Amino acid sequence: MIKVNQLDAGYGPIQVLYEVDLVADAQQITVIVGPNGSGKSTLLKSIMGSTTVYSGSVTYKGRDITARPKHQVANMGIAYLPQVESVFAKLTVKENLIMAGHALEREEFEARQEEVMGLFPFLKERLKAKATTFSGGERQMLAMAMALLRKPEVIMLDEPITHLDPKITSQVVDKIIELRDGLNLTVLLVEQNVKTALEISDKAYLLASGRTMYEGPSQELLENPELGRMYLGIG
Amino acid sequence: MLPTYVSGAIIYSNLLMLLSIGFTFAYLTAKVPNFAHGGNAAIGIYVTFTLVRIMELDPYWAILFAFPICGLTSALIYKGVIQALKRRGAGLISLSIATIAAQMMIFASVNIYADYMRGQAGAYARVFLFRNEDFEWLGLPGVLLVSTLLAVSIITVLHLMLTKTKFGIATRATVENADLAGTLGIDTELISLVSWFITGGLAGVAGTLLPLWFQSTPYTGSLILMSVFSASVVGGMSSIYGAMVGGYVIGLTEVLGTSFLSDQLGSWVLSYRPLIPLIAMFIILVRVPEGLAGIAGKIDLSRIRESASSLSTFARRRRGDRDA
Repeated sequence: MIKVNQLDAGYGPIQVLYEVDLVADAQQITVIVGPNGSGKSTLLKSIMGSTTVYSGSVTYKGRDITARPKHQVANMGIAYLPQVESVFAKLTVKENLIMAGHALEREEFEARQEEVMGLFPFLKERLKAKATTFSGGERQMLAMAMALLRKPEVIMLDEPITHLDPKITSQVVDKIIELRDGLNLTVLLVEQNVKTALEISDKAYLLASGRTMYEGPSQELLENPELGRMYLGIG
Repeated sequence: MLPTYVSGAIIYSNLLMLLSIGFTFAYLTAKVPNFAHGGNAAIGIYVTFTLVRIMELDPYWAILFAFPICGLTSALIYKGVIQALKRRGAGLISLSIATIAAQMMIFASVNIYADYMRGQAGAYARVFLFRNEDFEWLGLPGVLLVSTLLAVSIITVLHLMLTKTKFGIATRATVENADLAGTLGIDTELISLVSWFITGGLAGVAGTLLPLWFQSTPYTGSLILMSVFSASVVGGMSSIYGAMVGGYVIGLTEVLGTSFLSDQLGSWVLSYRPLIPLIAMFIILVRVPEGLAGIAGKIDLSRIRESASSLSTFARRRRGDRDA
């Protein structure tokens, strides 16, 4: 569904990714793990068109989307939840949802809003509350609701559970699994919480210093003591 | 009948408020202070001049013409200068200097136009005042009523636009986090372009009314920029509501302060009028570094609501005790 081919990318003159390849298959969870500064978030941002691409390409359903403006990539059906500031804190929940569905007609928006309220019922009672009053976990849920309202085919999550407490983490993890199994979405996940991420995903990529060190089934990486010890602090 | 200096203070504050709202709004969307904002006001001034002296129309028609002309000028500056330089990786300092260059170009164009008017149309366009062309209502100058009405209407429309329309909410979203807005499919460049059109239009509208009370010259737009900048900074540069209050605080301080000081110290003080907004800005920022919008942000509404609720419960109990 998403294919990254020999991508060299970074920010202005600072190159972060070197000849990175990635294939995210439809209706699977593909996880990208690696130590801090390995280029995981930069890879997601490069797919969204937010970085400087020096060479290589990104395709989505066979269409070249390399370095396209991010609003165009978003409107093609790719949702992206950034690591921080994934919601508009100064806007109300309702306004955040309106922004997520800004391209929809009113009736369609109302119908989809009802759908996401079914998935995240706590939002219904807090439509007029500003997102700034939400906890970290609640913000992640709102960000997911905003992404789902747009009915994307691909959802990219940048460290959605890294800073959450264990109880909230399990709720968010359940929602991520539901995205794949219940809503048949393609999930591309970047996560520091390596063990959990590998357990719920189908395929894994290990990045280190901007290069791909491993590509294959998540279970195999989880059981590889050498790579786990060297790069991930597990095993 | 109001004293002349009070009328002048209110008119000036109304217009300064419109200009400050525009300056702050443009800054919030593009994160660049638009020093060409005074140039748009200067264009507005000369739209009024053209309509009154050349076309012999009522000065208030200028509002209709100035809004699109100045809006387009501002949008052109955004598209041709800000956006183009940003794409080439220009930083805040380069962009700010670029808007100063745009201001100089507008200033030069207005000067050329003023000379052309004198040469070709025989109308003296270097210094003018149109108080005699204005109407009066119940002894009040027309521009006092129109500027107040316009300020209230524009604030109301802007508030409704920002809170009730999709475009307005998208503008607030872009101001808060343009990256996130982009990832939601919002065309943030379009939002900034339209916002700059609106802010340019507002500056033009404010400019059209200036010659109805204040002596105007090609320099007026550049001179008023200092007050606009002070009002926006006092307002906090983070909210158009702060800019509204900032516009009034600086406007009233500048006119009434100058009037008071000239009464006390002599008319020589009048030459130093442009210093007053800067001194006011300095004093306010020493006390409230985040500007007036920062004070509003610190007010905890939930605590006020809680206190109000406790007070009303207390009052109900007291009433109950009395009745018993």
